[in-house]
Amino acid sequence: MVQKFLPSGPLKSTMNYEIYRNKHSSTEDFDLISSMYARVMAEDKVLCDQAQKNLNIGVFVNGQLHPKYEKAPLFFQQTVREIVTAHWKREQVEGKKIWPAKREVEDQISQDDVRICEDISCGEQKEAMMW
Amino acid sequence: MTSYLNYFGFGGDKASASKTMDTLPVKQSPVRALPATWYTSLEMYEFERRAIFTRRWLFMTHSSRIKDSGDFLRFDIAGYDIIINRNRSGNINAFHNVCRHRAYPIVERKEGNAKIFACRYHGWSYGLNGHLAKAPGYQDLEGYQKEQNSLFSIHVKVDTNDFIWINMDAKEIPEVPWEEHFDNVDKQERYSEFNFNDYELDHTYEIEGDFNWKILADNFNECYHCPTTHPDIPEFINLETFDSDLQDGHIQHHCISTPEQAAKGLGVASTYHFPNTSMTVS
Repeated sequence: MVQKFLPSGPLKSTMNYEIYRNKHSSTEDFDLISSMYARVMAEDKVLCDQAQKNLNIGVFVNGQLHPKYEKAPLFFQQTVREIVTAHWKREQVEGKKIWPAKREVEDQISQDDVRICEDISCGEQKEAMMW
Repeated sequence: MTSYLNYFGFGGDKASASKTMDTLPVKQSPVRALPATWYTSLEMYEFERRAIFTRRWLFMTHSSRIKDSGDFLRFDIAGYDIIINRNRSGNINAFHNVCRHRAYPIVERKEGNAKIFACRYHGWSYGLNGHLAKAPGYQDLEGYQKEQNSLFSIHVKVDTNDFIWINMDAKEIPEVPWEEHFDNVDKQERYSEFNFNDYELDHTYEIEGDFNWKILADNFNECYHCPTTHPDIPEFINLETFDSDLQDGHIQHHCISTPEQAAKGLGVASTYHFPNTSMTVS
């Protein structure tokens, strides 16, 4: 089973499943496992829905996780924290957002056009910060 | 904060540093989770799109899904519309699904077979390697260079087990090498009992929900919630022995099957590949 969590917004994601079957496994064996996965994933969906709703309300900030039983989520979160912190520092140093997938424009007119829009947006941000 | 950074065997902000966690400290303390705003804010989501999803390697699918030349799959990952296909020489490519002319998606189906990618909007067409084949009318224009209008390509890595990974960094060589976070993740000893080429896609399904992608990752990666919420699981997994090995960009979950589980062939090897994909084989 390949499971992808595909985000489409801060509060919207798709759990995407690819279920593969071993050519040598019987229908019975395959169904046993694939139906179990489907049940567990549907149960997980409900858990995530309900927990997220409460995160959205703005009362709960964060809880304390168990260092052993929840060590993998802690590792996951720490990885996110490190990547975000490092990228944020880099953006602070460069004074702009860094979008790795963005294609560069080469001709002068496009570069000028891009810069004008950046300056306009940038101005708005500065004002927002002064606020 | 320092104490648990050290606990994980690393500190500071070196996202790329190799990290392992083999031993637990003698006296353990509970650890604070990321705050709720990281799971709700639009700005944080946009930030993750640039810091994580377009910078790190993403585990996508198995190459058996695109066996023949021209076979393609389309995915939407954090708003990035991408195509993975097999070219005429049998190699796997990936592209952003965007025509170089006026940005229309060149592929509108979720999957299929295409010998050429023809954009429906103005009829520009591209070969399976992403090279522009035809831009009607442009052949008569001065200074127009086809070569500069190939589809935007995405880095591809096919691992030892023929799983496909992508990296959307626009640089010729991605800043983050695959090996930095996934070295040997495809050569786990426990995979020796499986031949991944014996597996064929049976079906796919999707579940949409109103949640942040990280809450899904947090949930999938622990089984502390299993006894209370998944009544079926003890039949398949020996929860007493459940543990996870954490290294670089992956989390290897494992447990020791009971003799009855082993006899039924229920041994499970599950690996979570940061940021968003798990692969579980049994």
